[in-house]
Amino acid sequence: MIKGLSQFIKFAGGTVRSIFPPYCRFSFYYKQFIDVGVKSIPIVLIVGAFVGMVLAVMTYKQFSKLGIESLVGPFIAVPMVSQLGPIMTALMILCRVGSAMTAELGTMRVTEQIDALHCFGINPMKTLVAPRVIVCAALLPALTVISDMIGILGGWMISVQFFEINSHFYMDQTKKYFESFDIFTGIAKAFFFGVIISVVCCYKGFYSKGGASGVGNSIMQAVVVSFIMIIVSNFFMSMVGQYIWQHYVR
Amino acid sequence: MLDNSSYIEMKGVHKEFDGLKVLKGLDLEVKKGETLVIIGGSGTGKSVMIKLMIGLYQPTSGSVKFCGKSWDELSSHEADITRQKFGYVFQGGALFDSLNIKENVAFPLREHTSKSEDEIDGIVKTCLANVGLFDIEHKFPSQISGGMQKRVSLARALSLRPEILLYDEPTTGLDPVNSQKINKLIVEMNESRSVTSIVVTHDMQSALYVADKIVMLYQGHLIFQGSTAELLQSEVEETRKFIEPSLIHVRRK
Repeated sequence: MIKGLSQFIKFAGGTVRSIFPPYCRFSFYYKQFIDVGVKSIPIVLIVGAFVGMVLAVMTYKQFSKLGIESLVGPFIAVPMVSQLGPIMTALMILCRVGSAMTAELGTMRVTEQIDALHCFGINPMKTLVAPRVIVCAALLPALTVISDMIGILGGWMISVQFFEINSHFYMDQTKKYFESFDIFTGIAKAFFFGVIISVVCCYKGFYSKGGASGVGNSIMQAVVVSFIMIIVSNFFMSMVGQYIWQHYVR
Repeated sequence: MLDNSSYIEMKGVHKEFDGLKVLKGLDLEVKKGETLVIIGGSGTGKSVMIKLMIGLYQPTSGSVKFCGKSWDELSSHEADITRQKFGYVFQGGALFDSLNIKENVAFPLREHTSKSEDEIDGIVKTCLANVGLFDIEHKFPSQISGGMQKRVSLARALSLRPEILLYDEPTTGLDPVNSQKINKLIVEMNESRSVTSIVVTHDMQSALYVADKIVMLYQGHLIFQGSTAELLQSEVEETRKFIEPSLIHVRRK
């Protein structure tokens, strides 16, 4: 356990060192950009829209009991932007991209492709890990913004079209309670989730051993560890965000 | 083209993996321009030996030096630069499966040289032709046979014109014609370019053909070091057991 933790810290430190100066081969970044960003957009749109819609249904149900159903707007937008958007996007990227990163690097490890890079005098941290971390950390905030927008749109559609809440009132209430700080915390969280997913998944792949079953085991561990780290770190980042809002923003 | 300078030096090398002792105190010297063949049974640690020589593994105790410098004295960056002098032919090929054959062979050239694409194209074609491969540049590793993958791996190792070549089972899985082609290439590299070669193999015909010096690894120890002639006359029981089956060509009925 302690050996694994020290190896992870060493790997994370090596990742930071390998980012500066960045590896200058455009094709490596482009491939990651397509895999992490472009190909993830459809799933982000589908999940974001349905999360927003279900949030509208749940909020309307509870608020109608209190007779304040016309206030659902901000209660969809704020949690969507500061909590659900970043978390749901991160979990989707973890499942779709993180597991694939572990599988690819794990296979490269057990088939000696990573050793081959070393033999050519090429640092695999720079060529394999750094591009993945940079692209994942940069694109997760962008995907989160897309998810937020489609989620808010889904919530608005259900509230206005299905529950017949006045659209202008809905928008006015949303603007009234919605703060740019919510967007900032959501994007900051997404950035950290991107770092967590890419570093943990690359680490588990990089140190895979034991053939196909070993790679499978690494993927399972990468997904579980990243999932727990996302949920736990979200709580702490929310607390820090709350503290900053109370003391410096409000 | 041998000279007396020690190129690779292993002194008192022990290597353990999770408590399992693989190498138990190896002493070995490889001279510049020499072709050394490492023989031994499966799982005796032959591949571990050459991975120690290129600094992919660090010994549990003892030292491995290349050109008088121990690998553990070098920084990661210095080790990367030093490794550019090596070519390594992996047992399973270790081709990058996301790249096609041309990109695989061109990979070290693109990373370490400023050659134009036309020059790289020419080198890739020549290296592939040297190992008997033509018109496969646009195929991916998964689209060619294991034997071809191994030959592409050799072509890739040759692309940077290394000073020292490490071959891990270069002829295993190849047909006799291509095995002999690889054997001739190893000898040619040594004779025309003074490349130092270290060959790990089970194939005794190949070993006897290419070797200047043969060592035999048995239960973590080097039980034989000498020339091919000395190997054939060796009275060591384990050595005889290992080489005799390969000297019997036809079983009489």
